[in-house]
Amino acid sequence: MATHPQIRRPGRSDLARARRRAGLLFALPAIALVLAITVIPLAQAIYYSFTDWNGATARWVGLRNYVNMLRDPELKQAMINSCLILLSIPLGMIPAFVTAYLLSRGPLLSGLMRTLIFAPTALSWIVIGIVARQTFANEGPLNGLLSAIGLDVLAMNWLARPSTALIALLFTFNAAVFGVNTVIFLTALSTVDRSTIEAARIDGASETRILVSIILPAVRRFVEFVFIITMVASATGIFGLIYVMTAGGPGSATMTLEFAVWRRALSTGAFGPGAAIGISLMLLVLLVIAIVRRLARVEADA
Amino acid sequence: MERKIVSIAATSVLALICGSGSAMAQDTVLTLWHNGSCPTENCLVRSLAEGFVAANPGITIDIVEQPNDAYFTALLAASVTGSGPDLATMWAGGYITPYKPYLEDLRTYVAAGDIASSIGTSYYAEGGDKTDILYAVPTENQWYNGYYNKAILAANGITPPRTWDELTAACATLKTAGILPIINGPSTSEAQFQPLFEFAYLATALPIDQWNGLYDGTLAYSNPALLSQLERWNALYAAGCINEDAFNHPDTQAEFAAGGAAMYFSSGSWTIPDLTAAMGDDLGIMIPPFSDTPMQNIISLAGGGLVMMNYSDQKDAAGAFLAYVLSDAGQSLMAGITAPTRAGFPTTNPLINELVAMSTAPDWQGYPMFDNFSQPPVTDAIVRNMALVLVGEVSPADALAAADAAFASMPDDQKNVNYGLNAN
Repeated sequence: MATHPQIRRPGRSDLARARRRAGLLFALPAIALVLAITVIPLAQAIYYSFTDWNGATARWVGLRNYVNMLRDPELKQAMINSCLILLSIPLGMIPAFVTAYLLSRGPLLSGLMRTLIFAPTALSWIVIGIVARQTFANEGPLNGLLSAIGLDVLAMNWLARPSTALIALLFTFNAAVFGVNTVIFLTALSTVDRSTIEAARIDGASETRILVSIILPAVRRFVEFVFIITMVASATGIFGLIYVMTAGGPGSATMTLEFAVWRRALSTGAFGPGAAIGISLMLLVLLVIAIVRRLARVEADA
Repeated sequence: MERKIVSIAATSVLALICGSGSAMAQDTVLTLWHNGSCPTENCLVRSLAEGFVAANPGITIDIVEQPNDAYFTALLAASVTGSGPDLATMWAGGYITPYKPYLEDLRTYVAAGDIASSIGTSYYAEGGDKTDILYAVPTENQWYNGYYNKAILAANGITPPRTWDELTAACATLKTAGILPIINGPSTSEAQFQPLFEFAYLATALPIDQWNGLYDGTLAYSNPALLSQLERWNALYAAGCINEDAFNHPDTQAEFAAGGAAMYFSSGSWTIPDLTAAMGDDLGIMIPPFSDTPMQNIISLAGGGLVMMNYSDQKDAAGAFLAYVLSDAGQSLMAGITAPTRAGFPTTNPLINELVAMSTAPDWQGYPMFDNFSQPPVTDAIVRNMALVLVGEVSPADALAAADAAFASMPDDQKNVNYGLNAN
């Protein structure tokens, strides 16, 4: 009866074990850093979100902070505002894509245009907020322009009215991310196979057909990427913009969940409820990312 | 020989260490956080610091100016992490509550007699009892008050109004003359104006003992008196007595100082130095006339205080400064600038003296600053909604309901307060 030689699995060799150990040792500082600045604070936040922590003492209150979020009119408004900003992102991506598409077809002055479009990306949200507040002021340049072209009826104190302050914020946010999104789309368009496009043109396909059937599918992953990074920025990165531009007002008209974390935790000393809002915001962002990835995967499979 | 060299060297090193140690003990630097700007030429705390430092060589005080609108959040965050300053400016009442776990009891450092003789220390003592824990020393008496331009009113034959009706009449006269009657808006770079000053005077329609009811929930904010007051306040705006962009008009104080309006209500006594410098003798003090009968209510408090953080490692030096603030020397220095909190140190500022006179007049009723005693969620609701009431974006009823809702949302321990406010 023949016997099979014992096959040694490579991972069990001394060399492989030594390599794994060395790799782990080299990775330990990075792991420790990630644990210290991400995992441990996250675990603490999750714990404190179930307490009435005021910065000094913490008493377990169970789900009270999360339940109160659903009852608090201000937090409900913050959730609605966060969702509205989220819904505005696809609309804000369209001008960026169109601009990138036009730039990709016109070599003339494209370098200068790219610089001009991307330059505002270097500005901080604080600066953008200050400029926006001046722009939308009652005697600001926007109202001046509207009056100059005979649209006085549209001139108003944009940031003093709950109905228009959020619109001003949405516009400012999408205008601020226009530059970086355009550059990403330009990069995306440069990856599209030109020979496929030329072949389609030879076959008589219209530019619209080429855009819809060839270019858009080819840059699908970039569209997904732009949406995700813009969504993350809107959810967690525009506190400075809101603080300077409207301070979450008028009333709660421009308060987002991110801003509500600051207002509850630091403005009133309610760190426990603030942690609950923060955890909820994190879960919302992860949910949206999961949905987007799922939709992208379904489309790819199709 | 070798042993001699070693012993000489050791002695030298020892002398060096002792010498440098004593030098380090003399070079004490205290860090003091100040809410808002503290310019060299016009800042009470800076003047007090300079007076103390001159009398205490070897100690310096580094004043760090923090943005006013984020000051309390920054101080709380720094206190939680123990990375805050040695000293900090503070406000009384509800503002100080979150910081109590981080504040040093100042009775160890400040003379008992000075604590007892200061009218402001009760606002910074536990339960209002000057013999109990003292969390801060008051720096000055402050008032919520309005201002008027004497030249503008005189030129139009108007005396400072003291009732709603007089205010409405003055407004009509000034509008006819093409003058903005009342200017409103943020005084700094904030996104909206601060309605707390005017709301406090609107709330003096309630007797002072009923303010206890607002604070402990036995009287709803949605009551007829407050509702009526807010409606009349909004009516001023609707009648064009206040600038259209009152919610967020920039540089309001500067524009008033430049003669851009006749009256300015959203302010307090802390702006007297700046306005006096800009307007000179044209600056007049008035109380917002939100009353059917001649207004004789005045809002004042030990406006600012100084605290020592209990995580400071320079408590002796910090305590010495705080003791100086309430000492005769500190109070005398303060009297040359503003109103001290200890009696016996009259101020030289005529406008402050007007406020002191009103506060001490037997037929005037003193009220504290409303937001110093309202709970933070309620204060937040008032700030967010009352500004919108003025410009007609939120109804008075809805704004008051929001304040009630904010009160109801608090845990019981925040609701159960008893400040014992009573009439003079």
